[in-house]
Amino acid sequence: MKNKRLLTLVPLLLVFVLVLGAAAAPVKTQLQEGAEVTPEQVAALVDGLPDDGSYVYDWTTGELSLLTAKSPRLSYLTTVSAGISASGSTVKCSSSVSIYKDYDVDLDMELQQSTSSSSGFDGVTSWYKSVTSTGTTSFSKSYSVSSGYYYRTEAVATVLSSSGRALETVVERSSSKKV
Amino acid sequence: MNDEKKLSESIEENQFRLALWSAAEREGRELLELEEQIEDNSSYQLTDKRRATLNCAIGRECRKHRVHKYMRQARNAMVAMLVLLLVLGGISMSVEAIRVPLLNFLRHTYDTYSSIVSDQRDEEPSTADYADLPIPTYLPEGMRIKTPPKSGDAIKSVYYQDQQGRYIDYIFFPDGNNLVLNTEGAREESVEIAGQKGTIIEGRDGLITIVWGTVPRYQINSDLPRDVLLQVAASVGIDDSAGPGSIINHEEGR
Repeated sequence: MKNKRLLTLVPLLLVFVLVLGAAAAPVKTQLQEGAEVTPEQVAALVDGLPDDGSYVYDWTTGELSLLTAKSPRLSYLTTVSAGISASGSTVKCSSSVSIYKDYDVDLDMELQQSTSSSSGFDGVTSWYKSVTSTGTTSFSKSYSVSSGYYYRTEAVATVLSSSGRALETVVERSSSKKV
Repeated sequence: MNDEKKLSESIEENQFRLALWSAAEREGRELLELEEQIEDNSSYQLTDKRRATLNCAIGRECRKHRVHKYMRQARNAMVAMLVLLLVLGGISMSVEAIRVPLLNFLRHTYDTYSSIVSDQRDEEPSTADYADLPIPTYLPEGMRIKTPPKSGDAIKSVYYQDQQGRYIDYIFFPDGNNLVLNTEGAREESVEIAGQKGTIIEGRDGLITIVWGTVPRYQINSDLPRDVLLQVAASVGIDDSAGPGSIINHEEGR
């Protein structure tokens, strides 16, 4: 009787673990030709990234690269920037993208908070801007924050083809600032 | 003698009382007669219409009185609520956990509903803002501003273009933003611009990027030759009206 119950529970537990693992895993799969990336996929990708560094994700090859000073490898964007400044209990987040090819860019900017200057950052609030013109487009937002924490800005720029297919996602983070 | 006086006073008093009673009796009788007359005389009776009007008037007065009473109560209740709200508001605003989201909500509401923002570069209102923006004082001949810096932006950028379609995109980061630059297949070289360390990146597609400074940080992206761009970069923030090339008029070309 006890063994029977165990035999039933083991497959169920296995399925549960598999489902949980699949949900928690970062986006690694290559998109089908012509498939459009969803904002949820981009969010899942960004959530799965380590807490420091800048990253680029090629949606066509499914390749994720850490951008270091010696190996920035962007295919579409020229520059992505993220910055933060603080005045009293108000922080001003700023981000920008520069692009000189005919693509649309989704620019997401998130204010993040942590008790440490280098890790454990959680999103506080976010803003979005659609960029449809060549050159540099920036935006900045002010936000009242609680004191005693470290804050930083995370900019996520996703380049879209004319058919709306995601081509490249670049994640850049500002240095952290204590308020 | 005294007894006579007392007796005389008592008689006077009794006579006075008797007179009063007689008068009251007479008056009562008259009133009874008047009542009988009124009851008998139909002209003194209220008609149904008059009775209804009277009832109506009495009702109106009663209602008015009731309304006044309710209004007084409502006013008192409102004053009490206002006092309560002020007290609660004061307590809430002194608690950071409530104050911060509330202020952010108000700021968001103001940002969202107080202005019309278009993402189309060409449709944006031309609210050029050159305040605290060091700009290149040297630009090649024919370069005109296509997109001026916008007010309210922390990052300022000016997009210059000539008639051949060549461009200079100048970006100023007052907070020294962290940058990701595209250096794939590019040639990188360290340079010094106006005494500050910088990098020039010459891409495969002819795009040249120059970045210099830390806080603030400056950047130029352009398809012009590197020597020209280095000259433009070196002129940023310098008042060099006698320098080579044309001096840009920032009011033109908007």
